[in-house]
Amino acid sequence: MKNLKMKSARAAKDLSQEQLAKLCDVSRQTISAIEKGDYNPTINLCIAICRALDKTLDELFWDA
Amino acid sequence: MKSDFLGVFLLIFLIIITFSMIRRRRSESRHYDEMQLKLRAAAYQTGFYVTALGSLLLIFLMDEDLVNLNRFADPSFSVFVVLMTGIITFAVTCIAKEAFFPVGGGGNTYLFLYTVIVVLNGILSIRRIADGSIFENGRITFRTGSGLVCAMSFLAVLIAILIKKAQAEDEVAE
Repeated sequence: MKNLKMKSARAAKDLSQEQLAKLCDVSRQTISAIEKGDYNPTINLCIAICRALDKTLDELFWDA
Repeated sequence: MKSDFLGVFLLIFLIIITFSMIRRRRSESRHYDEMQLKLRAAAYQTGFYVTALGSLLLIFLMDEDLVNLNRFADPSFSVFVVLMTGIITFAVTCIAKEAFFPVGGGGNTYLFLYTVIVVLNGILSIRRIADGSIFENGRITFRTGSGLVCAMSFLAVLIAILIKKAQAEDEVAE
């Protein structure tokens, strides 16, 4: 399932996938895979993404 | 004589590139991220299975009562082909799944290195095929045929990298 919340949060911060990847110290392809829903990140990476996008885990990764 | 010169040139070139890569690797913190590590593990597995399957196939192909591959190729050459197939399977699988280069690694140095390997080995192999020296006593040997295998293997890697780079550029443009 696509992670549209993460994609929109990244767009709101005006960050490219490459820039977010650098902030999280991962490859651009990993960010792309998470947004496409092709890869489930570990909690450590989720936290790194949340910190980079100033969001909480609930806001980005919790499906209510 | 020219082949010897190319061989020496290739060796010196590889030593220089290896040292420069080691130096660069020490100065940078190059690593694979969690998704890449997972994908590389799967690629290792695929490479291992291909090598194991190839070795099994080779046993039957080398059997004198069946195909008797030894009539056409030296056993060390046949084993080299199987090993290279496993290695290239791993490399191409990693490239296809974007786990070949570490985080932030553009791969231009590798592209250049692989191009040189393909070109030099390609030239040597074409010369050998043209003058018939690829066969020794009617068989391809490791000494005469390994260059051709290297050229073809690295060409496959090079093509995979170029295709993936083009796809990544399209993805970024979208």
